[in-house]
Order: sequence, then C-alpha cells, then structure tokens
Amino acid sequence: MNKKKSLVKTVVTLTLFFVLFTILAPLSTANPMDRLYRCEPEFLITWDEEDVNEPISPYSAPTNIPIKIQVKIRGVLQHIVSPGYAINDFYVRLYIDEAPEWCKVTVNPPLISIPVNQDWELANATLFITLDKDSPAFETSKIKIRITTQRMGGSATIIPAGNKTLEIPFTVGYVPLLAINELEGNHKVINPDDTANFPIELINLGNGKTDIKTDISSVPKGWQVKTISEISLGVKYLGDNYKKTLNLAIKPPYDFGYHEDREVIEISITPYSNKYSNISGESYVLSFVVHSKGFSTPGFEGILVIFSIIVVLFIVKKHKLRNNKRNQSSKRGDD
Amino acid sequence: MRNKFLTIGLLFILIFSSTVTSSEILSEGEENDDAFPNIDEQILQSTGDSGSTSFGLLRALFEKFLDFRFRIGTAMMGTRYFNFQLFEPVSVRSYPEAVDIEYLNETTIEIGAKNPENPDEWRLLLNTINGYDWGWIYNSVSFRFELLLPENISQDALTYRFDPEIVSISPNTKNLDWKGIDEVLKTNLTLELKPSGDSTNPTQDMILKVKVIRIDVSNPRNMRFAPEFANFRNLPKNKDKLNIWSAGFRLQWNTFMGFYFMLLNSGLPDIDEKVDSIVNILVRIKKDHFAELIPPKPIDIHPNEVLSIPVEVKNLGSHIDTFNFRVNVSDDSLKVGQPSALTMEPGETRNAYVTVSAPPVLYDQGKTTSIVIEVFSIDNPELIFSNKIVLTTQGVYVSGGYAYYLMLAGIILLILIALIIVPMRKRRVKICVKPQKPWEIPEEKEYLKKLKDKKEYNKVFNMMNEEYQSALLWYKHYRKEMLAKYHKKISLREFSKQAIKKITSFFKMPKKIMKKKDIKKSLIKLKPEVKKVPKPKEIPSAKTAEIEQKAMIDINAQQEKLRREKLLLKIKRKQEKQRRKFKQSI
Repeated sequence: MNKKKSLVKTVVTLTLFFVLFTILAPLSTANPMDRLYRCEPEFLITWDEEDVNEPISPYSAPTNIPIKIQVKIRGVLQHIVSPGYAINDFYVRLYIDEAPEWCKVTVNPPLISIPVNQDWELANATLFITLDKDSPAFETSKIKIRITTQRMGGSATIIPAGNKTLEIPFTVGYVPLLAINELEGNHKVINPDDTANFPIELINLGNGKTDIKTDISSVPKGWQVKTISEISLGVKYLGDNYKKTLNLAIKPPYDFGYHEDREVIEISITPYSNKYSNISGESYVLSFVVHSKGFSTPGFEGILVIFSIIVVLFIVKKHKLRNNKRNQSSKRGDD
Repeated sequence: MRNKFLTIGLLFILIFSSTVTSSEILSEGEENDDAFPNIDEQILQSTGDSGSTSFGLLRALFEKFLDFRFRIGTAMMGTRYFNFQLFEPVSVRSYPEAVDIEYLNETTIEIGAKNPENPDEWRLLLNTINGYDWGWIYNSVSFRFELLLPENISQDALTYRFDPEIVSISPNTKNLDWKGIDEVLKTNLTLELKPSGDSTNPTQDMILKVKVIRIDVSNPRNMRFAPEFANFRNLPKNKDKLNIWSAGFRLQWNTFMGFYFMLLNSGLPDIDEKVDSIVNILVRIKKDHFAELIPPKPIDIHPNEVLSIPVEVKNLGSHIDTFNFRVNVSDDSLKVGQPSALTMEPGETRNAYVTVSAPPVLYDQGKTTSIVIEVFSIDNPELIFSNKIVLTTQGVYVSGGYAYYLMLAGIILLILIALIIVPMRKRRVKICVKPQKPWEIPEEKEYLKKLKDKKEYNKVFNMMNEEYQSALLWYKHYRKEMLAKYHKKISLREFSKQAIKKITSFFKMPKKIMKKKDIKKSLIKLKPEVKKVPKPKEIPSAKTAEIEQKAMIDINAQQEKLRREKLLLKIKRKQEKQRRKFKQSI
C-alpha cells in the first residue's frame, strides 16, 4: 500500500514537473511544442479583370488598377495564435518586382498594416501604370508584384515571413501618330503641259506598324490628281523603315488656248493600324495650290509653222516679181 | 490503479500530440499549404468525431492548456513567443501618388505618413518613436528627405526643394517638454520642370524616388535607468501621456530590464543613419504646348501672284505635339490659305507654308498688310502663339490671257490695215506720183555741192524749192480732185468686192508663178488688173454711167496732161543741166 502510494506520488510529482516544464518552457528554452503554434501567413490578392482588359495607351493618363489584398494566418492553433497576436499587425510591403522597361509602374501604399487574424483581413492598394511612347503596340505584357510580410514571434517563430508574387497582365494600346513634311511646299506654278509633283514625307511617330491611306477629296474638272493610295510604314524604335515619301502628281487641263488656271487640291492622309485595320487615327488634310499658266498649242502647230514658211516664201517671191515688173515698165517709159 | 491509468493517459496525450504535430509541421512550406487543414481536421476529427464526452473534455482541457501555454509565451518581453517590435514601420507615401507636372509650373507633392487611427491627420514624430514611453531612449530622431532623379534625364532638367528638408524631435529624460514635439513626419516636395529643347529632358513619364532617411542619435547608457518623468512622484501628472510606466515597471526597469536593454543596444552606433523607406512617385510630364513662330522678312507680292511663304515653327513644348494653324489678314482682297497641321518632336523645327494670293488688279501702287498667323496645339486650342508676316502688295498686272488675245487681235488688225492701205497707196501712185525734191536728185545734189558761192547756191536752191513747191501744189490739187472723183464713183460695197478680189487673186498667184515660162504672161496680165482698180466699169448704177464715162475721159486727159508735164519737167531739167555745163565750160 505504501509502495502504491509512493508510486502515485512519484508519478504525480513527475507529471507536475512535466506540466510545469511544458508551461514554463515558452519563457526561455526551446521546445518541440513551439511548432504547434506555428501559423503560415496566407494571401489572397484580387483585382478586377475589367481594369486590365482595356489596352493601355502611351500618352494617356495613368491607369489605376485597384488591388485587394487579404491576409490571414493558417495553422493548427490559429484560433489560439490569432487572439494572442491581435495587438500585432502584419506589415505588408508591396514591391514592383518586374516590369517592362517601357512601363512606369508604382504601387501605393508601399506599406500596409493589416491586423493578424485567422479570418481574412482586407487592405487596398492601387497600381499606377503609364507607358512610354515606344511601347510596342498590341503586345501583352506582365507586371510582377511582390508582397512580403515580416516574421512574427520571439526567439521562436510563430508566423514566418510571408512572400507572394502576383502577375498582372496588360495589353499595350496603339497610338496612330504621323508627322508630315511637305518637302517642296504646297504651291507650284507650272505650264499647262507640265505636271506639278509634290513630294510628301510621312514619318510614323506611333508605336506600331501603320498603314497610310490617302484620299483625294475633290478633283476639279479637267484636272488629274494621282498618288499612291496606300503605304505601309514601320516603327521608329525598331528602325524599321518608318519614313517614306509619297508623291502627289497634279496635272492641269491641257486644251488649246491660253491658260491661267488656279486650283486647290486637298488630300487627306489617314493612319491605320497595320494589324487591325479598324483602328485608325485622325485624318490629316493637306492643301496644295497649283497655278497653271501659259499657252497650250493644239498639237498640230508643226504643220502651221511649215505653212507659214511657205506663205512667207511666196510673199517674198511675189515681191521680187513686182519689182522686176516695175523695172521693166520704167524702162519702157524711158524708152 | 485508476489514477495510474489516468496519469499515463495524460502523459501519452501530451507527448503524442506534441511529437506528431511537430513532425507534421516540419514538412511545411509553400507547396504543402494543404497540410494544415489535414492536421487540423485530423485533430478535430480525432477529438470531435468520436462523440465521446470524455475525449471532448480532454480536447478542451488540452486546448486550454495550449492556450494557457501560449499566453505565458507571449506574456512579457523576452519570452519565446513575444513579438517584440520596438517601432512600428511607418508607411511614408506621397499625396497624391501620381502627379502631372508641367513646364515652368511648380508642383507640390506632400510626402509623409498619416496617422493610422485618423487618416486626415499627419503622424506625429512622437508616435514614430513610440511616444513618451520609449522615445526618451534617443537624444534625437530626425527624418531627412532625398530625391533620386532617374538616370536617363538631365540633372538640370528638374529643380526641386523639400520644405522642410529635415524633421526632427529631441527627447529628454527629465521632462515631457521635448523639442519638436508637434513635428509631423511630413514634407512638401516642390518640383519645377525647365523648358528646353534638350532631348535628355524628360518627355516621358518617370518615377521619382524619395529616400526617407532616419537618423537616430542615442546613447545606450541613457537606457540604463528609467526616465525621471516616470518616477512615482511624476507619474500621476504624466499618467495620461504614459501608457506602460507604473511604479512597478519602473522598479523592474531599474532593477534588471534597463541593464538588459543597455547591453542589448550597446553595439549600436551613437548616430545611426538608415533608409527608413523609399517613396515612389509616378510623375507624368504634362504636355507642355509651346511653339515659336519665326516669320520671314517682309515680302513683296505682285497683283495676281501666288506665294507660298515659309514660316518656321519650333516645338518648344515637352512632347511630340501636333500643331494647327489659323491665319487672319486685315486686307480682304488677299486670299490666304492656312498651312497644314504639323506634328513635331520636342525641339524640332519645320516650315509651315502660308499660301497668299494677291488680287488680279491692273495696278497696285503699294500697300503694306500683315498676316497674323496663329499656332495652337490640337490638345489645347486655347493656348495660342502668334506672329506676323509683313506683306507689301505692289506692281502692275496684265493678264496673260488678255495680253495674248489683244496681241492676236492687233496682228489681225494690222494685216487688215495693210491689205487696205497698200492697194490704196498703189492706186494713188498710179493717179499721180508725188513730185521729187529737186535737191535730192543725185545730179542736182552734185551740182549744188559744186556751187561754192553761197549766193549762187541759195539762188539755185531757192529756184529748186520754188519749183518743188509749185509742183507740190499742183500735185495736191490734182490728187484731191482725182480722189474726190474716184470716191464719188466707187461705193463701199464695190470697194469691199474689189478688196476681196484682190485678196483672192493674191492667194491664186502661186500656181502661175510656179511655171517659169508663164512669168512674163502673168506680169502682162497683172498690169491691166492694177489698172482696172480705178476703172469705173464695175459700178452698177446705170444713172451715173454717163457721168462716169465723162469722168473716165477726164482722167485719161488728166493722165495725158500729167505725162506731158512730166516730160516738160524732164526736158527743163535737162536743159538746165546743159546750161550749167555750158556755164562751167565757159
């Protein structure tokens, strides 16, 4: 009986020691039970797909993409850790990890504090995106954002540092932009049988391959206007034949008589996307003044010249004959 | 026996739970996110699904135990689970997050941290050093702001200033009257973009980085003892400003915590400078529309002239810009065509052509007009840049068409006149030849030359002149008489018929001329034709036939008379010559 009692006492004493040890262990020494409290931070990051569906164009105002960041802890004893760490906050840091070099992107705020909770805690951030003028049109690219949280705990880690990346895709919009040079001005004085040629230099300043369509709005009666109706221009940043010269040929009316015709010929130049022809820019309207001045011959002027030579020769001959006749008559008179 | 069983059971649960769960957690990672619910579920299932009240009780007891254990672990600083963070990281950001900056315009951005409890307020520096409870450990804490410009832009392109450049708070351990106690973690960044044609100037959007540098000045020895304002005498009056300090905590600090803290921070430098945060500001260079127009020197324009006047346009704005034009002219008679739109890179210069058409006036004595040319960006039509083209209209204009047709009409008229006058002159010559001036006859001329005596010369010359005057008077009288008779007998209709006949005969000639043998014949034939002109045969009127016949007789008589007179004159001259020769020989 005494043996039994002593055994029970020993066991109880040992148990008490053990319980005391496990209870007091968190104060100083490491214990396998520390891992029982360990909780992982979990992230749920969402954004509205509609915000990134629309292509982002260079020169436009910054595109704002709101991001919802939700954090919670997940572990065996999350229900114990969560209230225990309620006074602590997650400091969520947001970084732009990767972005194309022609893309300027910031995320704000860069640091968000979110309470530690076993249920989702929400915070908002915004991504601001702008694109350089040389961003390749229609290209789909990605912005990689990294989200980190700090480690939590004392000498034992209860919540390890969190790290998550997300990729937000976006599409580059197309900007149709042209520079037009009238190399030889917009006015010419020509003869009625001449053709006024106006070289027009076209430079693609947009961010994608561009087709140029020309349209001659109205051709005056009797005049002829000719130009290439379609030209394709490359992209400047790729050094891909982005500059071409278009020739506008204007021929005035050429009918017999004296001409002093002056007309204004208008030509509209419209840039279109080479990839999607339904995307077009604003039309550029150019005006050219042609002054046709001079005499236009009927075409058989050579015959007239020959005829007039014959007439002159005939007159000369006749004149000589008359002189001879006079001389003869004067001789007779003398006689 | 029952107690023994209970004791062993309790020990088994404790050991089993700690070993199994920890082994499971050892394999945790990003990939095994699903491990947690399994363990959780296992435990829950192993405890809850049994339905056993005793096991549920055990589970509750176990959880209570773990909860209690966790509370002990987080109870105080230094325990294994206590999450110690002396200072909360401060979220410093820019307000607004993205800004548009414009050339020459100052743009101010607020950079700082807002109070998490009240986002409308800026965060006090005191809060960044954990208030009065912990701030005293520093001698001073400062935040300095530095702007990092992007590498690809000219460093002179952007001027900036921080106001203030540095914010600081200087605590002390004696009292709560700290210097900079009302300072907030905030500065104003003012940016100004310089206009320039320099291609390295920013035209693209950019990210400006502002470094927020925290400078802590502290002395670990100051941490050894609790601050004086937290002693038991000062505590009641400072109670609302101090949260952690109590008499007990002060005692604890002074006993061992202060010492521990001093040791902990002994490795820190007296002045600790570190980048607290970096604020990214998305700066969008607002399109600055600025164009310079350089007109040409004053230009002269003649009536009906069209000029294409080149005007230099320079894009001094910040971006690629498309400029449109508007032209105003005070003189309504001038027609002015505005140039086409120009798209230019920043700093680029191009020519815009203003087409001016002067009115087709015959004579413009000179007038100076100015053409006002206005240029504006299509993105901002309200911002207009203008200059003037000075134009002087002056000169004479004869339309090429008019001149041509006038010349043509003139030639035709000349031909017609020639066709009329030539036969008329011929006819007159036939009627009567104008007497020749005697002193112009070569022989007479020679004779006059030989006369050296002036009196003799004058006498001979006067004689010749009188002779000529007399012959001229006769000639005029005779011609007048003859023409009057001719004009009476020939009507206009007849004259025109004759003229036509003449013309047609003129053009019929070549066939006959071509035959050399017939030349003589043709000449003979021509003779009567010429004579026929003045003949009144073709005059149709029958009543005047008698008169005409008489006139014809008169004309013949006159012609005969004229011939005789001519002969007499000739004989006279010859006699005179002979007389002179005779005199000379004598």
